[in-house]
Amino acid sequence: MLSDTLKLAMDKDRIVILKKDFFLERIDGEITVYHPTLTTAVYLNETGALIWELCDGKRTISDIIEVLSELYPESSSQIEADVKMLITRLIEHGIGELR
Amino acid sequence: MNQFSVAFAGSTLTIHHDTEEALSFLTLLFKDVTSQISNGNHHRLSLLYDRNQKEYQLYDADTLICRGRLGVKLAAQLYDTVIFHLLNRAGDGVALHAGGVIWNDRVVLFPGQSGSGKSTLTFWLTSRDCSYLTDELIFIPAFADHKIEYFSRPLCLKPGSTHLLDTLPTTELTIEFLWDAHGAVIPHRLLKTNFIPTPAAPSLIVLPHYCPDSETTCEPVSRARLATLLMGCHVNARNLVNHGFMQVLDIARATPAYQLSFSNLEEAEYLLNKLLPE
Repeated sequence: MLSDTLKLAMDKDRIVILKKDFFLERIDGEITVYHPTLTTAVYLNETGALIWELCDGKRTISDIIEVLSELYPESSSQIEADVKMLITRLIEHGIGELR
Repeated sequence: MNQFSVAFAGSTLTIHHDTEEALSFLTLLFKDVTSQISNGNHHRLSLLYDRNQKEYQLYDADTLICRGRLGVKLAAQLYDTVIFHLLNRAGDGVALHAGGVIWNDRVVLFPGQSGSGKSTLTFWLTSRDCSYLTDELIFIPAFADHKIEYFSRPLCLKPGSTHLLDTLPTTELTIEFLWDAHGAVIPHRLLKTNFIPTPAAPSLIVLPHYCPDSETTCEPVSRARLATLLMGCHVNARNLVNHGFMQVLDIARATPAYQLSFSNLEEAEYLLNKLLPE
């Protein structure tokens, strides 16, 4: 059964807004994010780090999928699932929200 | 009224007590928790005998927080309270919820939340070739000239792990310990008489994950993932600038790490031994 968050992420016209005032560090192409107010930490592997960079407050989920599909056409079937999964995680940790 | 002092991470706390039995209990729990550095900012707890109820009462300053016999349950409450107050007044540094041992002259840390298996793993390794440091807490000061400290309390086993006591030779059970329905509190000298406190930094970090009935595996953990996981084991984040994030990053960058999923302690020891050749 889909979580409510994942159902929201299915709406690809929405824009992901990242909460401000987090600490972020890039290490070896990956990212660790810590939000001091939420006291939550999130790890993003290389794919997750790419998606994070594309969550600029302007691109829709559909835009993000499109950019990544152009960059990695051989993985296009997996990209949409990866993007939705990551956005779901960010929302569930409170670090992102959909507008 | 007598006083018993506990010191850790540059912070000191005093426990008032009024019986010889309470003194023995406190000595059992806190014998090795000392510090050379103290900010002199004392907090007061009291462990007092109620002669009418024939039980002990634990006070935090003037507030009664627990009552009962001197067993594992009261020990757990006392540890929680003592650690909370010590870290609340601690010096600048990161306190991580972690077990730790010395293995082949190197410090190995086992950071993890309650239930991850870090105490069980620490108990097992201490009963084998490792020297004990802690099953609960490490304090890494922000300043390089201050010493790393390990909260060297006795090993605290939950009821599900007390079967490990059966692995000890009965001839060694001469040191006083606690064992009841709430678990066990086992002085580490019962497992290894040569206790060697060290200020050495960890050489290896192993993130334990106890998974009953699963295959025992040990996989490398990337530095970004390690930093994220360590923030989840960071006990005093709220007291620090930037919540200690930069210091945790330094630890993650400097220390190789592995995730150990285990159901069998001998298999876990075998896999870890490969990471730490003599």
